[in-house]
Amino acid sequence: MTRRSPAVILLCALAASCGESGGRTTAPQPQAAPATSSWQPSPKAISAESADKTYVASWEPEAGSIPDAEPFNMRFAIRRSDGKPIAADVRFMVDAEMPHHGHGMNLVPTMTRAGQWNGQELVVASGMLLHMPGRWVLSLDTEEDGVLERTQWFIDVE
Amino acid sequence: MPIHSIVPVHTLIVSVVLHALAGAECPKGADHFQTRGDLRGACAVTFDGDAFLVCSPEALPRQGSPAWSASQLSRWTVKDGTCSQRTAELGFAADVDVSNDGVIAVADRAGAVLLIAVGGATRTRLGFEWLRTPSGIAWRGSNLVVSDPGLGAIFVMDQTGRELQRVGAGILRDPQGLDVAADGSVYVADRLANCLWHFPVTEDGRLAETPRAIGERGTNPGQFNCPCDVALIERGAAGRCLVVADEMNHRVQVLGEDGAFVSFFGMHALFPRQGDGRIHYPRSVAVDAAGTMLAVAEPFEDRVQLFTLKPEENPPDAVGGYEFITSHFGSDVACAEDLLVLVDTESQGVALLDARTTPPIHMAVIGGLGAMTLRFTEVSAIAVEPKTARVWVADRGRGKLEVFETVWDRSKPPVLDMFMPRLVRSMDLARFTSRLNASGFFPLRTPAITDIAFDPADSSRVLLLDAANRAIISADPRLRAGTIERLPDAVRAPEEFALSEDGRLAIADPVARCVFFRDGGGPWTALADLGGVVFVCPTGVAFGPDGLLVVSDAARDACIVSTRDGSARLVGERGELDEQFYEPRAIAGSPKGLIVVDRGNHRFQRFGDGFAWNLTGSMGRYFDQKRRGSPGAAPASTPDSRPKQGGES
Repeated sequence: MTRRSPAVILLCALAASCGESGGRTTAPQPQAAPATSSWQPSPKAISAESADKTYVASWEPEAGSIPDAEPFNMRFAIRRSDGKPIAADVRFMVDAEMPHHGHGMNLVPTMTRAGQWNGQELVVASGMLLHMPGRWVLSLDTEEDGVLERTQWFIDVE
Repeated sequence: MPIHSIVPVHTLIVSVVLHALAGAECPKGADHFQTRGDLRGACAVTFDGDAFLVCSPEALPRQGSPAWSASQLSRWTVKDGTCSQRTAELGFAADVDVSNDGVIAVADRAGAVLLIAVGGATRTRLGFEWLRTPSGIAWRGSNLVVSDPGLGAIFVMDQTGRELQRVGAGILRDPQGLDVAADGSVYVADRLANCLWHFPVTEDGRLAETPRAIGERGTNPGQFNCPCDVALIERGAAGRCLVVADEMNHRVQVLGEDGAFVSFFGMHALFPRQGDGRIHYPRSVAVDAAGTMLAVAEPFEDRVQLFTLKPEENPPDAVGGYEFITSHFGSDVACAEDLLVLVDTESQGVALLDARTTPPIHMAVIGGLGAMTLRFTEVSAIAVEPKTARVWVADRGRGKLEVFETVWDRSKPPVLDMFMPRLVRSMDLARFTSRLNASGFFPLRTPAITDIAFDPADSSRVLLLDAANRAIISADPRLRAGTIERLPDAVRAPEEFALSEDGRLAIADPVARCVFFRDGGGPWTALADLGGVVFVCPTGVAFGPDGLLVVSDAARDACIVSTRDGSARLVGERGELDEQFYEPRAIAGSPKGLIVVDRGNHRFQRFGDGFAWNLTGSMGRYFDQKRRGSPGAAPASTPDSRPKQGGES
């Protein structure tokens, strides 16, 4: 199989952004805090507030870019806006869909907690696949005590 | 519900063969034989010898009479279609069965079981002290089996009303029609769980506590979408056949005893009123004693269709060249400021429209059928949060209350934008119930939210009309905590509520046949009429911009509009044109008038100042000028000039 070059992606934080209201939030800056994980979010990570502003999350592809129609892993860093730690029983779910086409991904990613860094919960979504070009909506759901709250971003795959 | 063997359970007779199909294969097809129409709300049917009995709880009473005086139970002879018996004085007839010795048992959804002796002279009312919403009934020997979705269980009771056994609690979600097999075991259709449950018989003749599930949700053969009733055909040693009313798949399915698919038939009616074998939202099925005739009750169409069963499959049904329906709106609607939201019951999609324009412009759809996040299985209520235009959706099937953000540029013409709605949060109602119970409220069931509103006095509080607990729940927007207000005991099935800016609250209850009304902090009043117009089946309620009360009545096919002098007028009549209705349901205010869901016509209509009609709409089809033949419009000049059946031409 011929492996195509990585797709060009345009990233835009969707939650409370993308023109209509609010602005793109700033990604958490790395600090010299003791890390309990093997990786840290990079300055390139794309950040956004959740819809109810309870959380701030950022994401980035593990390999630095999203491959074209190939499975890949995505890293997330999540913190609470009020500074409190995220409880151990909080669940994270990641999905991506193309609303214009009425479909989502062909794979269900596996979520793995990867420790904490600088007050952020680090999570890896393994087995992501954006299988066609176009506008995708990436969503991170954070579920705590029966309330699921969503953080969203646009991803344009060309 | 079929007529079936009445076998003393303790004998567990298995040798009794009910139908002439003993040893034969399960039927695979059916030919349309007869249609009995104008049976208002026909929701249950059973055979009784050479006749069939029908429950029609939306039957109209005589002028000025209370609804319970209407004839909700009627007996029709198959051969010549004559009606030999009509029975009144029922609360809300939901199901019926006849014993071998001719005693008629009726499940009264208002909270009782009624026994009617041969001849109809003697009546006994049972279980009214403890039943909540009996929806299915069948004889089991000399006892009765009753399904009660309000209690989430089925009951075996004797003819004095004494509860002998309760099974299925914590397992059944929405038990509806049921049937008893020759061995005394019970099959019940569970509308929300999308399966049949089979309760076998234990050695002591009681029903097993743990049922076996048959089927799953879906549209493929053998799958169900809201099964509502099951009828059995016993075949002796060859086992039995299960005949199922598969409501939202618009078909009748036949399964083997083990649940294996045999066949289905009844091509989906493509538009309202289409018949002659087309089936539209079947709610009840019955098979006659010979096992050769099937009756299907369709409350959506107010009719019962009879079919002759046959061993051959029906040939594929051609799709006619009719005007297709473009939406299936119903039963809820919501609007705040410029956003109009309607539920499409077939697709479980929530349509968003810009309400500022005529016609309203379709902008996006939230959801669609499915079990995952951003999909719905049974939307039971919607609302639009004022100022924020966030859309609230209660999904009874998934037990979730979800909030969606809707952001669009109001300075530009509205366009279709599927990216526009965004999930904000999804709240689990079972977890909310746990928190409420832990807070010291009486044991609550998971709410069945039938309407949502926002407290005019405190916009940070959301109000949930809860049919499961017959209560109004006031909660914070994240459902962290809440308070419960129990509704009056007379409330049976609260379907919609309306709050006025001056603190009045009204609740439409089609089973109690009342509108419950409260002025500020005053006591509740059960209104049986509005300005002298008696409610038969009030399904929607709203306060108009002038503050006057408007009530939609599904049985009257009209809206009852109060006037300043204390009287009321009826707006609408049965029909498919403008200012005509077929089962009007929810009502909501909008910038250009009150929106009424016209469920039986799969559309909505809008009424402006003075409740004057100004729009009929379905997805992409609108009429803002009355068509010929509509009330108040020019008469239809010739039959050909009338719109084709289905309305929107």
